[in-house]
Amino acid sequence: MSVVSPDGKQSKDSFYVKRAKIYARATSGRFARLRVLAVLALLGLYYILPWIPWDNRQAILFDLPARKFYVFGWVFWPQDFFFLALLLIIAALSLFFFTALAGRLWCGYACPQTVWTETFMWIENWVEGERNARIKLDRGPWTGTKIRKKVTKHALWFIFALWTGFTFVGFFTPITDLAARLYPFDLGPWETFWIFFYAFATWGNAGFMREQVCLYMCPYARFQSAMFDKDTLIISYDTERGEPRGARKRGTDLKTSGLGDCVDCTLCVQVCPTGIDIRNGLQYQCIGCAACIDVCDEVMDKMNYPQGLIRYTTEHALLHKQPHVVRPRMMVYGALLLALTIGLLYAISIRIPLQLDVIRDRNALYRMTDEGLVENVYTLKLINMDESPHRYALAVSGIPGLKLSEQVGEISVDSGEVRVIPVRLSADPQDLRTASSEIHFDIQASDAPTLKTTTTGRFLGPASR
Amino acid sequence: MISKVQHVASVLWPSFVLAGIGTVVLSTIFDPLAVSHCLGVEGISRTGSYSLGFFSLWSMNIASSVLTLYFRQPVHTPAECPVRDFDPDRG
Ligand code: SF4
Ligand code: SF4
Repeated sequence: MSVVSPDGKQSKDSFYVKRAKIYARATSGRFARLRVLAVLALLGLYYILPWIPWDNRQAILFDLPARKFYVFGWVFWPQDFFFLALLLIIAALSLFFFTALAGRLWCGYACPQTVWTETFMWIENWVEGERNARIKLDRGPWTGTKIRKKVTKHALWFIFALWTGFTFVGFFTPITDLAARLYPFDLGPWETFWIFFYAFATWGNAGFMREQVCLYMCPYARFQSAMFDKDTLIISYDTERGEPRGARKRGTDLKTSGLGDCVDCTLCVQVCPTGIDIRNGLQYQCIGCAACIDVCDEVMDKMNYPQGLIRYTTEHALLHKQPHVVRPRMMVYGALLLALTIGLLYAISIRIPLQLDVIRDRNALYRMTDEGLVENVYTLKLINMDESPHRYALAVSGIPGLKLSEQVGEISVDSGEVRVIPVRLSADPQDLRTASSEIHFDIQASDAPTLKTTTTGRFLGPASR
Repeated sequence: MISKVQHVASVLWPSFVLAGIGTVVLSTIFDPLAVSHCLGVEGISRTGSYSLGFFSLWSMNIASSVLTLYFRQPVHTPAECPVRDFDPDRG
């Protein structure tokens, strides 16, 4: 295949840069502990949530076959798409807000890519050993030990990935039922497929792709700089303090040697999961994991220098300027966020779990009855989205004397059911002012006064006068 | 220079994301099972119809991304033609 590289040159081979595999050194320290905590909390949520019951069903279940979404006490229908859209906007805005405030917190601690990669690296570290051991292992020949280690690692990764895929499907199919059908194996073809598909994606993304997902696939990584300003918390190397860098013996006098605080141990580069040198300045590849802070602080401790040669800081602080936390950008994001969140909660709280769809009969515009009335035919679809069954009464209005040709009586609909009701409406042609009049279908639950809704429709007839 | 992973990811990934969004949006409007029946696909579960919908969208998006990459190839560079002394207009 011949393809074109970004600079427009055509070539048949080797125009791809070879990716250098990154062997990140494991760190320990404040931020490493924080990340372990975040990973445990988030993965815990993911793996445990589907097992939590609620009213004889799963608390969180996206029931695709029934087209209903359960989120604790709420049941959402495809018709509630508006809420989902609002929720996504809120999520995006919070991302903007926290990015402007504190940089790439999301990337370093909460992104699923980080969280699963971290877990996969723990497994790798545990089986293959520390950074140097891993490099040696990969460079060395295929001995029995190497094969054993590689097989163990992949087996563990694979089991963990399968469990992840299983949990994923468990958000869409009741998980206890799914687990019961594992042995003897009785999963449907699509369930099996999605478990393996998701497992494969996890294995690939967390085991192999790693930082490349952040570099090539993540849109947020590309546009986060637009949300940054000079007061955003970033991870930065203090050039003023560190340079000129250089190796030295412990206890060397900085004044006489003319050196800065950086001992050029390159540990900050070795721990970096995206393989960058933070000392070259802020780079978009930096996911803000703070591993370099942890490791450099250790070095500073050993050298008896103060910590924080690499630290969370802001551009303004580095320039010795007054930092501002409250700034117009923050206020705009904050206000929007607050307004939308209140709006969403309010909208959900006043949501009426009842929907009436009106479909006009497509075959005839209208019909004249023997009594000389104009008659229109409709199909009503009444959806009870509430948790309990209800009985409803139907009324029509909009044209004087508009009435149901046949009374439909009380309509009882079970929880989560859809009732289809054919109705015929008739009106006196004298009362029709136009060929198409707007009419209203009012539905009201007889056992709950707040449960009512109105849908408008059109009534067609001969244009009179 | 672009890496091979970036090349492949730039086709597979955006199409995947948009297929996901497309599936969510479309399935709130149309019931995938009903659509499958309209298309004459029988004996399929609803989960199956969701999956099929997703994969059809994904393959269409992949096709589009691949075409975009393909059409990025420069096809035509005007030939360079320096001015010469000989000019028939002047005879
Ligand atoms: S870890 Fe600290 S001391 Fe070591 S090279 Fe990096 S900045 Fe310099
Ligand atoms: S430069 Fe530091 S904070 Fe940024 S990704 Fe590398 S190790 Fe993490």
